Amino acid sequence: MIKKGEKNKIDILIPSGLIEENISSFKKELSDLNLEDQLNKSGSNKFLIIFDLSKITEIDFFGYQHLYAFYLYLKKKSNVTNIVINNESEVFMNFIKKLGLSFNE
Amino acid sequence: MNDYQSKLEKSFLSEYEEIFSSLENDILNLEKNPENQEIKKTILRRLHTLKGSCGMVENNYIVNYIHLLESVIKSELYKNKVNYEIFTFFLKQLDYISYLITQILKKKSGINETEYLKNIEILKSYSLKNEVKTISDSNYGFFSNQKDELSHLEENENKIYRITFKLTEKRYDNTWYPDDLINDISKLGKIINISGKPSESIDWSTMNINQCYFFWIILLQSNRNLPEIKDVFLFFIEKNEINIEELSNESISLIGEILISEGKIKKEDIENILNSRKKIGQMLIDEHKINEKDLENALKKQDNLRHDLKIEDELKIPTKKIDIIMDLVGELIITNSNLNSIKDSIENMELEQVQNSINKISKQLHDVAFSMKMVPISQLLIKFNRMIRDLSIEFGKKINLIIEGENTELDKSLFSSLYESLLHIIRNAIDHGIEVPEERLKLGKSEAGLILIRAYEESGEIIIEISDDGKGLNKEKIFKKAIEKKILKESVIYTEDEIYNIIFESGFSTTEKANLVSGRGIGLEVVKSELKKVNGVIEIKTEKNKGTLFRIKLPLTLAIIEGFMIKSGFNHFIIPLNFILECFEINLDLLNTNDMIYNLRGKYLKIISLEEIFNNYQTNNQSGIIKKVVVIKFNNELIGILADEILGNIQAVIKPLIKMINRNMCLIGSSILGNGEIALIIDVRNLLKKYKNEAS
Repeated sequence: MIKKGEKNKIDILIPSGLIEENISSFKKELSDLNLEDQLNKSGSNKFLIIFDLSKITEIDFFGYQHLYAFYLYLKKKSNVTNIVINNESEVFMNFIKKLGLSFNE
Repeated sequence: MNDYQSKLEKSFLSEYEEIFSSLENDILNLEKNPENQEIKKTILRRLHTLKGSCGMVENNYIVNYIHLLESVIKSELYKNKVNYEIFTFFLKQLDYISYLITQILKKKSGINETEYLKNIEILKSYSLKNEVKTISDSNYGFFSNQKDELSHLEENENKIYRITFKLTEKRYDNTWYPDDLINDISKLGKIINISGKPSESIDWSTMNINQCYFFWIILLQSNRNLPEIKDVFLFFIEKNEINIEELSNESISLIGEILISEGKIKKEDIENILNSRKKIGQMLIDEHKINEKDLENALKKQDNLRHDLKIEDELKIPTKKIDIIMDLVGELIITNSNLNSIKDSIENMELEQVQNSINKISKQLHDVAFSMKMVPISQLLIKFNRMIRDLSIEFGKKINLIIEGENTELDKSLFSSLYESLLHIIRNAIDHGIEVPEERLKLGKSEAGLILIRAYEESGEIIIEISDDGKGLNKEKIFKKAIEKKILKESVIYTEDEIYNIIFESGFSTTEKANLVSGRGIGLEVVKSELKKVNGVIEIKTEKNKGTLFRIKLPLTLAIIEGFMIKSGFNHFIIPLNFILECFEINLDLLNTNDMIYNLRGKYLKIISLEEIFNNYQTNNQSGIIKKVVVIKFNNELIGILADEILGNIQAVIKPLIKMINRNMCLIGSSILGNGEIALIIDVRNLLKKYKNEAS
């Protein structure tokens, strides 16, 4: 997972295996990003967060749910202006289409 | 019994065999794949449907029996350890239910009460082990109620279901996934719309990663009944929030349902809005519930859905009515040919245009009517799974059945004859062809024998091949027996084909001792006579210790053929178009009139004269006369037919000929032409068979 330090922009590259077995390690990686700290320390600065989903080659519902919960968690932060879902892989697109899921809820 | 009840009973009796065949097949498949959950669910669903169907027409013996069996199957299938004997038990139970249906509903006679009670006790002994109650004891199962059980008669209608589910139960790692449920739902029909929504309580920092925080609203278009849809949630119903609702045609507002399922609006929004008179889409925009884009998307989906509903609607029509339509189409084609003749004699542009239109419409109508009678051959072949399984056990043989091309379509009126033929061929293959496992192993073969049934279409014919990898036919034994039975003469030299074809002769069998399956010399004779009824032929290829192949060739349909019309002597003849290779003119001087052989580009072509065969001379085949030759081909054999005139393609409605005329005449029927004259339809196979020897 990569976090780019560009000003007011955080890029998060989601790992390839977004599946139940990997949730614990995924959660740890997300926690290790210390986004909470970064956002809190930024004061009144506003951030744009980009989720890059291009690497996802394997996904199941519980993996998706975890990513979605993280997305909601960040969205509620007052200094996050927007979260952009970028470069959705074909596997990801097919999965959300099949299950009728969407990040725009 | 009132009229309504009688119609229900008729409907049930016409459908139950199909359910039985499918059930038998499912049980046999499960026997091979005992861990396959899909097959288990399908078996339970079918049995449930059967019980519901019976409930509409009978409410005592059969329904109660199926109910008990259903409970036993349900508990036995989900046991940890597979008991293989249970499959034979299930199959025997199906046989018994079939007996009950025959006695009670078909024959309207009684049943052996003692036997019935004994069987009930056997089922109950299983039930007791699993604490199953009888239908009168409780409203068994979690979903079933009488209305649901009886709703099967609507099975073929496309219905819309709104399925809402939220899986709140405690979950252990890797046990279930909502994806699987959605997969199962999609197998029951077409998902028109699906929407997965997060619940408000989802919080990344505190969430349990094993809990599902989403709920789904699905609109499903399906021809399945409500219990079948509910069965998807068999293991989820108790601890989760599941609601499945069939949307009635009267109340359905597709656009509203799509928007509800997408979570854009609530059900109440629809109800409130419906009280006013504006269009629902506009009203929702006015109420700021949706935007223009939402409406546009939903309208598109609505249009697609309405289109799908229209084209996927099915209606069951009795075969007799389709036959009447086919007859009428035939008459229309004849009348149209008549009109064609009139058109040719009157030069009128408008008439020509009208006739062209009628031509086109007749052709389309014929194609549609023709397709109505075509059904996949799988409906017939599915019946052999059970037979092969039972006979393998009986003969102590191991046999695998492989069916290829089961989607090949065939005129349903050919089914009965084909079934009889296949039945005898397969029985013989099991009894005489395939060896017992020990013998096969000694021969270096696999322990289990193979019966392969292949169906495909080729040159306007349906080909069905039945092959086995057994010992093959014993030419010497057949020949010896044929001499003994005075079917063949020892002094004559016969070809291999001629000897092998003896097995189709009446009373011929090489087996000394007959058993219940074969050996009486009746079976294979039936094959030939049944196939003859439907203008079918059969060929044999066999090799010692490698196996035997029976190839059956059938016409696509019995009613109408695409033909090529010629005039020879006083008569019109029609040759099935798919046999025509080419036409050319011939000066009779170039023909050796003794043996009627013509050198066609270096190959000898036997030419026959229909005038001679049918003794209908109009002109003598005098020297110097130019005639036409139509070259026909079948199985790499060529023959030329002399014609006075070539009249071109024709769609011919086949009318039967009386036996006396047809005998040895190489004809498959006749057709009435537009001008009222009769054209004779040539049986190409027999014609070639009859004259090929002379040609060689």
